[in-house]
Amino acid sequence: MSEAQIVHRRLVQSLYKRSLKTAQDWYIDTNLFRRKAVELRMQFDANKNLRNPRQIAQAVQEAERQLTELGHPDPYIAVSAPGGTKFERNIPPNLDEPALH
Amino acid sequence: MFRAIRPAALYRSAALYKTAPVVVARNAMALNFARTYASAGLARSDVEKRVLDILAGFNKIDANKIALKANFNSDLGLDSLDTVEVVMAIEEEFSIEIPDKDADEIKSAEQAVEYISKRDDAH
Repeated sequence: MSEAQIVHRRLVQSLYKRSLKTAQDWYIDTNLFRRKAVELRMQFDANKNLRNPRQIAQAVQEAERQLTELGHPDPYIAVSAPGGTKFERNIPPNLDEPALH
Repeated sequence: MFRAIRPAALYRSAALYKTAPVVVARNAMALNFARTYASAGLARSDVEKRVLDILAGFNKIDANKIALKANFNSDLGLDSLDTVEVVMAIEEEFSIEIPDKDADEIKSAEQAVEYISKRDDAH
């Protein structure tokens, strides 16, 4: 795999992950989410064999546009991630000597 | 002025002590100072089992090929998007967020276990 291919793979992986996360934010019911996930996967697979760089760029741009358009106003955040409900709760106290001023 | 009030207040508190047994007061104090914490970290065998269970839940993966060292791509036959799904399932299972940079390094169950044992916020 060339460098450019690796970069592109990471970009598509990131797009796919963000799409799934957005779907998960909107579809709380697991059955509905699974259906949407399969749909998303089909959309990504449909563009699997694109070879024309312009078409690829267009597909990526379209996906980005949809992601910004459909972004959830109150997305799910993992509890201990920044912004999560447990983020920086019970931080161990700083036991070092205070600095001399 | 205060001296005049004080003895009466003392008597009142003494009367209170007489009615409330000392043993109960001590127990209440012990309860106040006892704090409980969740057990620190996850056991490695637990993490391994949970990660392997996640892999077993994928219908694209052949159940006989599941192993800790099996590479997602070459051994289990997953493509890059399937790997994203596996990483997302791991995120959900341990309620952590795995940044893309770290997710890129996870190519087998063993590496996933390694990564989770390093994250102290995994549940």
